[in-house]
Amino acid sequence: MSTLITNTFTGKTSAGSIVVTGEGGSTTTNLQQGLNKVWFTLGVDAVQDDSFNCSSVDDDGSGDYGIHFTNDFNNALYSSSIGMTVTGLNDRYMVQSPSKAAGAVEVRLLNTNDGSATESNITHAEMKICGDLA
Amino acid sequence: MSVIKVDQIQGSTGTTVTIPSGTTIVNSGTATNFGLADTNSSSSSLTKQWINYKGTDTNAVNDSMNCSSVTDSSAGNYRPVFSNNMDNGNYALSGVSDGRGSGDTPDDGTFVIGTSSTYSVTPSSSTYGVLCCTASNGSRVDLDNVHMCINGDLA
Repeated sequence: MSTLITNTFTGKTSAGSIVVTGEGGSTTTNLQQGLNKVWFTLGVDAVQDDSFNCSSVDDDGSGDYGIHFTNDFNNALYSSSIGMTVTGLNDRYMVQSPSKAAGAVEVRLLNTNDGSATESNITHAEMKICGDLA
Repeated sequence: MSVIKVDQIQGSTGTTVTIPSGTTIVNSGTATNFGLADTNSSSSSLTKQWINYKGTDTNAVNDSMNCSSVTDSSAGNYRPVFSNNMDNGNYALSGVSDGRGSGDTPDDGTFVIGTSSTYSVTPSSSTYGVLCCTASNGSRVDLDNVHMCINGDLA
């Protein structure tokens, strides 16, 4: 096995593009574009218990948060995925708010029965985001 | 300049090959995969496809990686196609949507993967189905901004 020890990877032809061979060996993917650029696990007290590339959190109301990025995206057209931790057999859901921006994502925690905002019976909201950094 | 052509370099008494102090190894610019023979191990942890999709009006892929197209099959029923196929249909889909409504006060909206039903498709190496439904009553609905993310093994 070869071990490459370095602090920075930079593409030779294009600084922001490094090709990685796929698992099956017959196709490739892009290292930079395949990385998760943001992830966080956010308590309903608006405290990030752990995160990557997040700076501050705005508590904008019940189940309403704004999470600011340390390094911004190129635009607001990133792709997000969510998860939630709830207490008991309570059905809750999180959506992303249309007011998201390159520097922050807005999320809402909702009751699934009527779509109203809530923080009850929720301990954490989790999200990861892929996309192009600025 | 001397040229040594070999397929493998191996230590004579062990696994260590020593480059003497002061020696410089120069890549002339034509070598590839230099020191990166084990690229597969770094590939598994990467996201293999992500999509930001506009599911209303004139449907459009706003931004994406490894997505050649998205077919709008019916209300809230979308079928993304990979540019570079996956190894099989056993990948992991995750995502979320913007809520319906505007600004900072969306009220509803979610999405789930379809497997095999009237409205969707069985995930394969080249495509899969996504159903967008209202969280409040499960009815299928087109949403302004749908996010899809795939982790798994490429072909």
